[in-house]
Amino acid sequence: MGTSERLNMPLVWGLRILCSVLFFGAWEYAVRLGWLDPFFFSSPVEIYTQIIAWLSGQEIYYDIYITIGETLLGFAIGVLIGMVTGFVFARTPMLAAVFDPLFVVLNAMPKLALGPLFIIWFGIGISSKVAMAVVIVLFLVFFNTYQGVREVSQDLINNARILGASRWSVLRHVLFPSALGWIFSSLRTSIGYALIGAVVGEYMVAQHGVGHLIASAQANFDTTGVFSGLIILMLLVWVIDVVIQRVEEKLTAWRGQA
Amino acid sequence: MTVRERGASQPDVRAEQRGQALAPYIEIRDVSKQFVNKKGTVFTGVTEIELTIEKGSFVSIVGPSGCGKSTLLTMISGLSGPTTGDVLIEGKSIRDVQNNMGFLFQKDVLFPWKTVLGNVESPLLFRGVDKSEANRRALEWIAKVGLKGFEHHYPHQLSGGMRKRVSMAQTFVYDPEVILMDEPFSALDVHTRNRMENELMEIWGGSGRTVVFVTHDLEEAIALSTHVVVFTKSPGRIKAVYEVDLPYPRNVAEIKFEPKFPEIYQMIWSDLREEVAGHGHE
Ligand SMILES: Nc1ncnc2c1ncn2[C@@H]1O[C@H](COP(=O)(O)OP(=O)(O)OP(=O)(O)O)[C@@H](O)[C@H]1O
Ligand SMILES: [Mg+2]
Repeated sequence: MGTSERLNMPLVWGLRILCSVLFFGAWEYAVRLGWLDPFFFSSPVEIYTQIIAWLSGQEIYYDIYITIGETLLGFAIGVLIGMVTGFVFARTPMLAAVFDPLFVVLNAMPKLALGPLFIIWFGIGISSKVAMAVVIVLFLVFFNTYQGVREVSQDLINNARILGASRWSVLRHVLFPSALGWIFSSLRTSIGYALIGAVVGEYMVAQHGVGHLIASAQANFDTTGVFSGLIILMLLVWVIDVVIQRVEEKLTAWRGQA
Repeated sequence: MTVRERGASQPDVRAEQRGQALAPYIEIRDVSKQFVNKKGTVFTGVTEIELTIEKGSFVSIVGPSGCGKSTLLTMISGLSGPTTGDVLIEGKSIRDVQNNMGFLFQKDVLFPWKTVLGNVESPLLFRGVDKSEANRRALEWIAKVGLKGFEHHYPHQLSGGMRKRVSMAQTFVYDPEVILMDEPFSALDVHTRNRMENELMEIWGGSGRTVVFVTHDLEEAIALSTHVVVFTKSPGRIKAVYEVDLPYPRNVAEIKFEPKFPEIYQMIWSDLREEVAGHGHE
């Protein structure tokens, strides 16, 4: 936990709790006193009640399942394609040179804007959301892998070749581990982006999913529902991030303190 | 003790002297290496290098910093070809990395993501040796370089000198026939250094392996080598090749007390001094 090591952790936690209590307390209080309009701002107690009600029902789990499924599927496909193409382009300068302008243009384009196209192509089911997640993740992972592989120390490659490494061994024992740090830093960002892709896709048109839940709440002017949906999303991202962080620590243990 | 200027008929002379017909093993024929930077300026690293190395010899290269010693080793290794001229091993021109060669780089090139053990056994695994055998041989070498107990450490947990020793184990473990060493001991303290030098003498002595050894330290060069090659300052040329007439087996710490040692040192130093003169700090 980096810098917090030397700090007084109980104090840090105390302050965190205090801040949360103050924030939610002020919110609740302001709504009760009529300073904030509950139509626009709902209230912490109502949101809490709503979340509990959802969690004790069954539909929410199906929505979470759908959204997570779209996110992970999009993430996995995006990472795979991004990594492979990143590797290939980094190791084939000619290819990279030819397609460089195309990448710049494609990367500058807001990927979410492709949503309507994907809905036409893939329908309103999960495929269009997966596709959204894929394009966002793909570019991020592609650029990071490309960069990571390009930054590999030539001296390390030379040493591996002297030691008898085949092309494949160089890839597996030098390029891949060396790019892994870069890839991981992009993975943590991209899981968040994959979720954005999936949720924005669900906002547009869907039958299930947390994004769909939020969008329908919004259609009914149900602010509490919107807030509750957002909080569920936040929790999902958090859980996923913790998992990725654990995996990263395992795979890059050689760096020392993770 | 013989002194020879760079010349065409070196192998014959030497073979005659020893009364045996030794074939040249590594031949460097009129080699030069140029580097072109991004602006298109050409920089000459080394030029007119003509050197013949016999199988089983221990050749040291000394010369001022930046004169092209590492550049020459890189060309012998096959990692990068000469701009002009040719490098041959057993009469065949080197086009790529050879699998019977070891190269201890001047830079730190251990795999940072592998443990000491993983690093040392990697060349064996690359060669298809089976895992348990590779493991056994790697452990043996880790012990030889004095790193028992550090098998599961990562390079970043070791000192510079320890990393150098891991590199040595990584090279010697697969028993290469030609060993290129680029200032391998300069990061070590005197005692470890003497131990490693003696270890090197033992590995090399009578094994028929050929060593090309780059160093800044003339004393070390003389103590270890059959031949010392003196480079001029950049762009590097070969100024002279000396055959070191001291008996083997040598104990590196004691060979310096041989009566002939200072004599040899004086002779080579007189050549080298002119080249390093501009580099007061050398
Ligand atoms: N890849 C390269 N590109 C451009 N110039 C290079 C390259 N490699 C080496 N040089 C130049 O060639 C010259 C010789 O370099 P080299 O590393 O062979 O010197 P060296 O004799 O090994 O020096 P040192 O004793 O300091 O290690 C130097 O001036 C260096 O700047
Ligand atoms: Mg050098």
